[in-house]
This record gives sequence, C-alpha cells and structure tokens, in this order.
Amino acid sequence: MKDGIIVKPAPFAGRPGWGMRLFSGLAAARRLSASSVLGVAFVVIVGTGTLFAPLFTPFDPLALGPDTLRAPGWAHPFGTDDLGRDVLARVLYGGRVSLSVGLFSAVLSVVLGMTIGMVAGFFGGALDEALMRLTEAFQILPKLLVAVVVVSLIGSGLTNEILVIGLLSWPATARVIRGRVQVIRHEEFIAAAEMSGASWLRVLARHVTPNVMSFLLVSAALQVASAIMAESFLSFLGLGDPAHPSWGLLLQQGQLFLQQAWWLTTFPGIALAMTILGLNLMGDGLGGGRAGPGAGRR
Amino acid sequence: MSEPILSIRDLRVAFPRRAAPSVTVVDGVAFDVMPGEIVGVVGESGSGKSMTARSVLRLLPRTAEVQGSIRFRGDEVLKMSPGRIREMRGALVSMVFQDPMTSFNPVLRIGDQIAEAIAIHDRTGRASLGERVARLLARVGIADPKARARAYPHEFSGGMRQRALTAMAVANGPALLIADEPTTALDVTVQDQILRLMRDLNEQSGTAILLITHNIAVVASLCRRLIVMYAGRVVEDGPTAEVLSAPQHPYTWSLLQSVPRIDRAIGRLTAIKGQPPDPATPPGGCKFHPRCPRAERRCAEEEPPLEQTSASHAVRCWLRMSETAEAAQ
Amino acid sequence: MTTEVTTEANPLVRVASLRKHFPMGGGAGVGLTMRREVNKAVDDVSFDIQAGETLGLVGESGSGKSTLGRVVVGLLPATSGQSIIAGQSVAKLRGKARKALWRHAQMVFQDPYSSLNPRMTVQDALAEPLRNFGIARGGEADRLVREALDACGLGARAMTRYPREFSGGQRQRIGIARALIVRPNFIVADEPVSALDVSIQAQIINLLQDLKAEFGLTYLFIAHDLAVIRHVSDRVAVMYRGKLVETAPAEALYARPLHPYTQLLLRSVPVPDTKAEAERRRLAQGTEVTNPEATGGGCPFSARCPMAQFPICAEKAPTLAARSGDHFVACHFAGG
Repeated sequence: MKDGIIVKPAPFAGRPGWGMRLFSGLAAARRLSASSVLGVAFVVIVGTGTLFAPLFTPFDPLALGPDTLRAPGWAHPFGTDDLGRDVLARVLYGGRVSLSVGLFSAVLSVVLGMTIGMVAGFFGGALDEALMRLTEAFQILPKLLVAVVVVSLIGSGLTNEILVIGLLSWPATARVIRGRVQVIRHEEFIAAAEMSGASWLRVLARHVTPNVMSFLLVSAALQVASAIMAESFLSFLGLGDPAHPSWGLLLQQGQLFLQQAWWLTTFPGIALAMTILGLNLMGDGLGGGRAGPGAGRR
Repeated sequence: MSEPILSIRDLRVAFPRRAAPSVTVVDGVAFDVMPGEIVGVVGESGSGKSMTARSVLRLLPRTAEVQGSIRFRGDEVLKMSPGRIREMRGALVSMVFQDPMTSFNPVLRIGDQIAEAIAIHDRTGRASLGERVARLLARVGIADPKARARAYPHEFSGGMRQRALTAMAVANGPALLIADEPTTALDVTVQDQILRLMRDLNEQSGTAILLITHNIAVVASLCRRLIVMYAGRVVEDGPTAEVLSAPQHPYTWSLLQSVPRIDRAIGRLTAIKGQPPDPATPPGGCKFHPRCPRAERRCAEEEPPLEQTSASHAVRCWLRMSETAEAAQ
Repeated sequence: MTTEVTTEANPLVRVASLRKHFPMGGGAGVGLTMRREVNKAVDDVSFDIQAGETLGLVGESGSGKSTLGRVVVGLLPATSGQSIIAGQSVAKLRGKARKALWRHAQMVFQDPYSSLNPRMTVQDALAEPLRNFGIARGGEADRLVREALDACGLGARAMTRYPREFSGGQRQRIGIARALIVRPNFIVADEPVSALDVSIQAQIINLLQDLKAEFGLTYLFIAHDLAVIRHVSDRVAVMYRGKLVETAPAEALYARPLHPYTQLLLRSVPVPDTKAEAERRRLAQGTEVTNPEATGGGCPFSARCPMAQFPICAEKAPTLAARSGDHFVACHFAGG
C-alpha cells in the first residue's frame, strides 16, 4: 500500500474512505440509493401516522360504533369492522403497539447481541468459544415457535412479548458484531490504544464501539423489522394483548371477513408490509453505501 | 532504424465525477518501446504509470475516458474492436501484475490456468498442453514442473506464484510484456530472481518489456531506457545510465538524492518537501514546482513541454539540471 | 520506573533467549486434540540495545522481525525468555504494571491506514495516552498535543481533523507524534516507512533521526529495506526464520558481511547505478544454491547455503558467537 493521495471520489485509489461519522453517512444523502430513500420514506410515513395518530383520525380505536362493516368512504377512510370500530384508527393506534414492541425488543436484542458479540470477538479464545456455543444454542431454537410456546405459558402482554422476542433475537446481531470486531481487533490502532494505557474497557468503549456503529445500525434496522414481524405473528395467533390491538391482531380478526370486508385485512397488511420493507431498505442503504460496512474489500 | 513496437502519443485518461470536473490521472503521455527493448517507467502514487500501462491493453474501468493514440505494431489499440483486443491480450501483449495471489483463481490448479491461457489463443494441439505447461514452468525456473502444475495457488510461495504468472504471460510468445510492479510484493532475494528471469526471457526470445515500478534501483538492474513520470506526465525519458548518472529533471535528481543507498553511507537524506499532488487539484504551471528545489516564477506560470536535449534524451523542465550539474553528484 | 544510567554492562534494552511460538491450526473445532505443530516465529533471540543507540533489525517476510518487535515491547506475551527495558522485565509485568511500562516504551506502526482510529480526531488520538497515563487533561493536554504535532512537522490545524483527511506520510507523522507525546525512552519502529512513497520515506526517516537527537531516544528499527537500515542504524541484526544470524555495527556488516544469508541479501539488492548494477549481477551469477541434504533440522539456512557442509549443518544449529569484537555470527563456517 503506497502513500495515497486523497481523491474524492477515489476511482482506483485502493482504499475505501473511512468516512461515515456516526450519522453523517445518513446525512450524505447524495450517497443514498433510490431504494434506501424509498425505505426511509416508508418508515417516515408509517412513523408519522402512528405517532401523530390523533391528527389523522378523530376516532377511538376501541370505540364500538353503529356502522359495522362499512366499506372505505369519506367518514371512515379505511372502513369499519364488524363492531363498528374505525379501521384507520385501529391501524394507526395499532401501529403504535406494533412499532413500540418492535422497537423495544430490537433495543433489547441489539444491546444484548452487541455486548456478547463484542466480548466474544475481542477476547477470543475460550470465552469466544463459550459465547459462541451459547449463541448457537439460541439460534437453533425456532424463534417464532418458541415465542408462541413461551408467551402462551407466561401470558401475553406487551412486556412479555418484548422480553421474549428480544431474548430470542440477539444471536443475529451478536454474530455480525463479533465478525466486525474480529477484523478491528487486528488493526494497528487497537494495539496503539492498548499501548496508550487504555484499559480493555476503554478500548472496547472508545475505540472498538465507534467502529462497529455502522454495522450496528444496519443490524438494528433489520432487528426492528424482524421484531415487528414476530409481534405480528404472535398477535395473529391470538397471543397478542387484546387491550392493545396491534396489526397482527387486526389481521387475525379480519381474516374471518376476508370475502366480505377486504379492507379489514388489506390496510393493516399494507401498513405491516410498508414498515418491514422500509426498514429492510433502510438497513440495506446503511450497509450498502460506498463507505458502509458492505462496501468492497475490508 | 526499426519501427517501435509500441508507440504512445498524447495519452489522456480521466475519470468523471458527479457534479465536478473530471479528474485527469494521465495527462499527455508519450513514449515509444522498440522491439526487444526493456523500458522502465518510474513514478510514485498519482504519477499515472499504472493507468498508462493498463491503457495499452484497454484494462481500464469502464468509466474511464481515454483519449490519444496507442499504436501496437502500427495498429491503433484505442480503436480496436473488442474481439481484436481479446486476440491481442495474452498472445501479442501480456501483462504481469503486482499481486500474484489475486491474479490466480484460488480454486483451480496452476497448470490448468496456464493451459487455459494457451488454449484461448491456440486451439491446436490440445493433447500436448500438459507438455507445454510443464516446459513453460521449467523455463521460468520452477523445479519439478509436472508435479507443481497440479498444485493450487496457495501451495506456491509468493516468488513461485510470480514465476508462474510470468509463465502464463509468456505462454504464447508475446512481442511485448507489460509488468506492473511485478516485484513490489516480493522479498529482495526473490525480486532478484524474478528480475533475472525477465532479463533471460528478453534475451532468449526478444520479448520487449515495459516495466512499471516505483523502485528506481530495479530499473537500473533491468532497463535500457528509463521514463520518469510525475503527476500524470512524462518528465524525463532517456537511457538509464544517463538518467541515473546525470539526471536532468529536478524531480529525478531529488528522488535519487532522497533514496538511502546500500553501497555507501549518506549523512542526511535530502528529502523532497511536500507530497505528490492530488490529481483532482493539480498545481498550475509545472506540476512539480511546489516541491522543486529550483523553481522559479516561470515554473509556476507556464508548464514546460517535453523537449529533446539530445537524440535519445528528453526532459520537461525550464531549467535543466545539466546546466547546474556540478551540484548534482 | 527509575531512569537508570546505562552502560555497556547495563543496556537500556536487554533481550535474552526470547521465544515466541504460535500453535499452528491443525483441524477445525475446539482442538481438544492439540496438534504439536508450532510456528517458532521468534526462536531464541538475544541482543542488547544501549541507550541512545539505533538497532536495525532486518529480515525478509517470515523472519519474525515484526513479532519480535511486539514481544520486546510487551504487546505480545513471550513464550519464554526475557525482555528487560530499563531494568524492568517486560515478561513479568501484568495489567497496570505493563501499562506503566508503555510510558517509557512506545511503538510506531507500519500501516498508516490502519494505525489511526478512523473515528477519532487527531486531537483525541494524541490526547488519549495523556489521559490514560494521567499526564495531562484539558488545556494542558492541548498544549502537549500541539507541541507533539509541531515536533513532527504538522500544524495545529490538524487537531480537529480525521485521519482520512491526511495522506500516508502525514498519518505516519501523526502516529509518531502519538508515540512521542508521552516522552518515552525507547521506541520500536515497525517498518515505519515501508508503506510510503519513496519521496516521502526520506522525510519520515529524517524526522525519526531528528527526533532521536532532540529527545534522546533509543530505537529498535525494524525494516526489510537494507538501504534504509544501513542509513539509520548504529548496529544491525539480521534475522532469518526466527533466529538472529548476524549482528554487527552497521558499517562492519555492510562492508564485510560474514553470514552467508547476509551475503545473499546484500548481493540481491539493486542499486540505482548502472555500472554498479552490472558488477553486482556479474558477482551474483550462479550463487543460487539448493542443498538436497538439508533435512530442515540444524541451521535454518542450510537448504540454501553455498557454504553448507553436511551432515553438521543439518544436525547442529549454530549459535550466535563473536567473530571479532562486537561482530557476532551464527554459523559453523563463516568468519573468514
């Protein structure tokens, strides 16, 4: 490797620019592909809708009404269900449930996965072996089936759902982070950090973590998507919290009326699909940029 | 006086950028290679030497904008059809690259890869391919060639891989061999062997060699003529012995002054200040003037042309070192 | 750590019978059945470095020189043997004590693209050792950072920038400033210029020489380029396959190399002078040797050595012994 001249962009300069401060990668919109912009758009639409639900609908999602199984129209843009409840309201408020369960369980799995992955990747040896066996043990479990079993045993409820999904999903993040840390481990700046008197904790926190952030963000986006999917799955099977209807629950209730009232399943389904797709595209975008974790060699 | 086997005139290679002017990495390069001659091109990062070499075989990235003229045996390479280029590559003009590890397919045996290189251009004699491969490997100094041909790239040492790569390159008896930093990744003892191998190949089969390197000492060992490139331009072009003993361009001179020597002790190296220019923002006038120990005002304003100072020697400089050569050695 | 006055008998750095073995991966899995194969990257190496001296360590790839550098300075634990810096045995240090050693012994790394944390500004990177060693914080740390950058030829404007904004040579300067900022006595420079352009190499070599004079440093300078080693070293040690084969004052080694491997190295290096090159090629003719009697035991160079005699060279590994004054060679026959 020869003394490089910084040419932006670098056609043949050899090394990809390290670029990407924590969020500058996102801010450098000119580097985002069309699909990742679409992904962000989807997520923003869904996020705004659910967050500011009262702005978009005057109805209470749980309020029963006289107008049952009404097709979409002016009064009820998404129609009503068999108990007269406004579907738009149920989709938007239900989104809050789906998204928050998705978000919190993703946070749990990412934090857990990152910690285990970093420790395993950094220290190697017997500790790595042990942690990898643990990871594999969790990976072997068919996540959704186990979730179903556990939730039926300990009872449904948002907290339980978050815990179960989070505790079953961390291996994916752990593996990604471990792989990245194994590469960083051998970079000379880590040796330099050790020689500058840093404790291993400081090396991990101050030197390793910032360099896995881009990978972490990608993994986080994908984990949120996967958690939302898991939550929908549980709700669809009737293990969701009926007091806090989510998209999965809507889908389950709507399937009885699949023939007569297509709007009961279509709109929650679109919302779900948009969210999952959007998060995946975002994740790809974060990872696929020229300076991102998925870029070229190294 | 024979015709040059390779004749480059006014070669320009640029890469387009989004919302910014193109970056020119090769800017008006011109030189000749005579049949059977070994020519060395010396330059550092950003000199454009590798791009120039790749242009000869049209191995540039698709986004590259190439202008100028590259004539191989009189034929204009830049205007050749893709079919003719393919015919040319590996048969008339071959290339040896820096990293022998990535030049071979790791999942195929060495012998098979060399055989493929032969078979692409020579459909006859499929049966004797094994024989020819073994003979080639022996010619490049690999012991036990029949057995070694069945080995995979990772089973070869770096030096052996480079030999095998050279074997693949000369398999079809090319008239010109382009070697892009062939010994940079090798130990010095292995480097010596590879350079000797190249000299032998040149002497035995008259293959012309265009050697690209950043190591000016390697050139002294092998090349009859030396071309010095800086910032996408040729700055000096002449017989190696002359250029090394009495360099006329301040860059060549400074480079020689700044290199530690194994054969004598030097008090303090005379380093060239600054660093090679960014091709995206080149300096005005002479590209070397910000770092030049002798720069005058004219150097910052106007770029000098490449001019012959004798029948065989050309320099791109307003003030030639030869005029104050007493200061040199 | 006390600053000891070092004399011939009390060198700043003493390495004694240092060994570093790496187990060679044999088969997948946890490795319950551990293969006996080891890679003896550093195989019984001993040398001294006097205060203020530069010891040049030269070898080709696979010689173990980089591993040796890291073991000497304590980045890698030794398998056996001693590395003693200013009277402190590095091998015995753990945790805090080992870190304390690094206030006095630092390293300059080879790859300017991997030796700086891409997520840290220059200021943060240089302030890191100041903070961790409790030397300075805040304004005082800034002052020291400025000084270190200035000593290495960089302006204060570099402080807020990220490594990606610098060229290789500049990054190397930053790495040197980082090693320097704690005012160490001893620096291991592991191929500090190998990854740089030729015209930049001279700048960094000069910088290292100047810093040595200005701050009274002692260097272990590791490189594969024999010309660079000649230029910077007071003494030179030649390494081959984990062993030292020759150590001598620089001038003596280059004028009269005694070990056949050193001789092979020196006559393989091209010089930028066509007359000298022609002469070198003439002398090097037919000196490539392969000895089929070499079994892999005994002297590691026996397979390629023109002087080898069998069976002794295949059976008995030579040890480093003085041939004349301070010129040491590990060979049964060298020293004419």
